[in-house]
Formats: sequence, C-alpha cells, structure tokens
Amino acid sequence: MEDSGLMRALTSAESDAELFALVIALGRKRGLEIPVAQLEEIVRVNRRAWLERWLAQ
Amino acid sequence: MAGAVTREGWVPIRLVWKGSAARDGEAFIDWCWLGGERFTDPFFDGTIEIAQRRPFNRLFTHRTPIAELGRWYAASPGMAPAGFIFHMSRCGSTLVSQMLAALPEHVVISEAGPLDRLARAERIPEAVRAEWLRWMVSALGQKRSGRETRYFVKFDGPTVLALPSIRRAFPSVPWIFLYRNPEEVLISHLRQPAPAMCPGVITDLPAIDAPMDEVLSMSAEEYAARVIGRICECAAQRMDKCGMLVNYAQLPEAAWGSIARHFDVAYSPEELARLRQVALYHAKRPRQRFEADGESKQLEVSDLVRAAAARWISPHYEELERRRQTGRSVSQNSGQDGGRHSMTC
Repeated sequence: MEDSGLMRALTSAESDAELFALVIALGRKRGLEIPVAQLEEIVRVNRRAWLERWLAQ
Repeated sequence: MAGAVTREGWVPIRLVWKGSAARDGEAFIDWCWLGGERFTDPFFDGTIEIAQRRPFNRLFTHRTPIAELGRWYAASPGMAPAGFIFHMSRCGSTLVSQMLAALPEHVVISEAGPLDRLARAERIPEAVRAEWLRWMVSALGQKRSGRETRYFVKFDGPTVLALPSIRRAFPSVPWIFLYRNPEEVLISHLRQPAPAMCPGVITDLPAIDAPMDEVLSMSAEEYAARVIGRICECAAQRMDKCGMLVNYAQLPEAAWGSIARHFDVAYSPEELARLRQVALYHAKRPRQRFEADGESKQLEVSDLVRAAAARWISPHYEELERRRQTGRSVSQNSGQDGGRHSMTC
C-alpha cells in the first residue's frame, strides 16, 4: 500500500485474469509461487462476506 | 510508526463481531479501496457495491482489527462532521442527502452499514463505543479529491434509537430529524419494507421490547407502525439545542433554507441551482423525474393501516409537529445528557 506505483498497477487491472497474472508475476519476483486457485478462493470468500454483510453475526 | 501502512483511499465497509464484542480486539473491519471516488449514490452500499466489483477489491478487500481504525484516526483525522441527518425513513432524508452530495465540496455518507451497526452496538461499553464512533466517522470523512470542505452523515432510520450515544461522541455537531405523514410512511414500507420493518433482521438495538413469538404474531402493519412510532418517540424525547425538526412538507426548500442555516452552510447562486436541479428527480432513482406520491399513498390506506398509524405513530408525530411549530426543540429532560457535555450548536 505504501508503493504508489504498485498500487496504481494493481488497481488499474480490468479483469481478474489480468490482476492474477500481475500478482503471480510479482510473487515470483519475490520467490513466492502463488497458485491461481488460491487467488480464486480469496475472491470467492471476499464476495461472500460482502453479500452477507447484513446477516447477524 | 514502523510497519504501519497508509489507509489513504481505503474505506471501512463492514463491521464484524467475533465473540461477545465486549472488548477491543473482538471487533474487526473489512476494508475496500475507493481511491479518489466520491460518494454520490443515494446510499453508501451503492457506491461500495460498484467498487467491490473491481478486480482489485475482489482480491484485496481485507479484514483488520478495529484498532486499525484508531491508528488511521491518529495518523489522518478526517473532516469534522458539519451535520447529522436522522429520520423516520421514507420521508425525504435521501433527497436531503442527495442535494448535499450534489456539491463536490461535500462528503456525504448515507446510511453506512458499519457506522450504523457500531452506533447501535449497545453491548459495547459507552466510552469505548464513543471512541470507536469517532474513529469510524473520521475514516469515512477523509478528503478524497482535496476540494472537500464539509462533511455530512445520514444515519439509517433506527439508528436514532442510539442518538444519546452519538450525541455524547459528537456533542457539538448539529443534527436534524426528518419525518412525514405517518400513513404515507407506513404505506411506503408495506409496498417495500425496509430491513428494520422485518422482525429479526436488525437485532443489535431492538425497536420493540417484546418477545419474538409476540412480535411474529403481529400484522405487518402493526409491527412497522410500532417501529416507526418508536423512532419518532425517541427523536421527540431526545431533542436538544443542536437538534432541528423538519417535516417532509417543508422540502425541498428547507434544504437550502432552515437546514442550511442549521448546518451553518451558505450556498452561492450556482450551488443553489444545483440543489434545485437534484430536487427535480427521484432521490433513490435519480434518472426518474420526481412526482409527488402523497395522494397515491393515501388512496392505499386501509382501515388496518389507519388504525395502526393512529395508535402507534400519530401521538409521536403530533408531538414532533407541536415541537416544530412552537420552536421548542430543547427537551425538558435534555439536561440528563446535556448537563455533562458542552454542546455549542
């Protein structure tokens, strides 16, 4: 979040595929192998949390 | 503050409780990236729903302990609110907030779920809740374009039940309470109920003190009327010198008249023209021209609606009207809260 260039690149991605490719490439540069399935699961969990925002917790 | 990250462009979008939520560390915040975008939709959720569809937010929406709000408050205090808007629901409050949002100098937060839930969270100790409320209001009231000079917050209808707590957290912020003919409000909820009119949906601060089996045996008319009546009763009881009552019949002129004066706002002729333009359209469906619907609602008033409104809402509505017309905003018992906190409205 402190890296404005990185934030600009990430926030301007226009599709999940474009964003995932960018994240995976950035991870590789740092020696991390990030599976696409893991990113898809995060997206699914985040979407569900937002849709269920009014449910009693 | 080593390791701290900036929250610039991020907005708290959801308050999540873990456990009893009685202590710090048990409440969490979900964050969404909004960048420099303004809140211009009729409701907070509308702006966030669009933002949440962006690929970045689909992946990078994340959760932090509520203490992160406090850290952001210390690092970047948001604008001080210029006015709070409370209402009985379906009474022109969205029109008022949309007129305010028409000016780029204004930040207008309209019924933000995390703020309303926090305000109504009675189970949190008062002092902690007041602090968290200041953090949340600050996070929502950040400048985004740099042009903003004023900040307004419209709360969800039932949140007026938490008015004393909000007033204690923000003792010098002027506020208004909007209301409308009880039968017309009731008809609107029978056509399309708000969550608060459905038993069991809003459970953090119940409007009706009755067992659930009794609540579930009530007609839709009675339940909605009792909730609306309680909201109006609370507003009338909690009036203080920072509060002002506004009847739907006074809109839209009150937006640039008495409300503007109460919120200490003066509009230029150009700004006034923009406000008038907004008033020509439906507040919740801004592409539709506004058409007065009082008469059509009155045609739908059944005996059951008339009786429920008369029993549960009208006594409080009449008290609000009496106070408004006599200019008696300050409650006789306002000293209960007002004595301990200086209010400078």
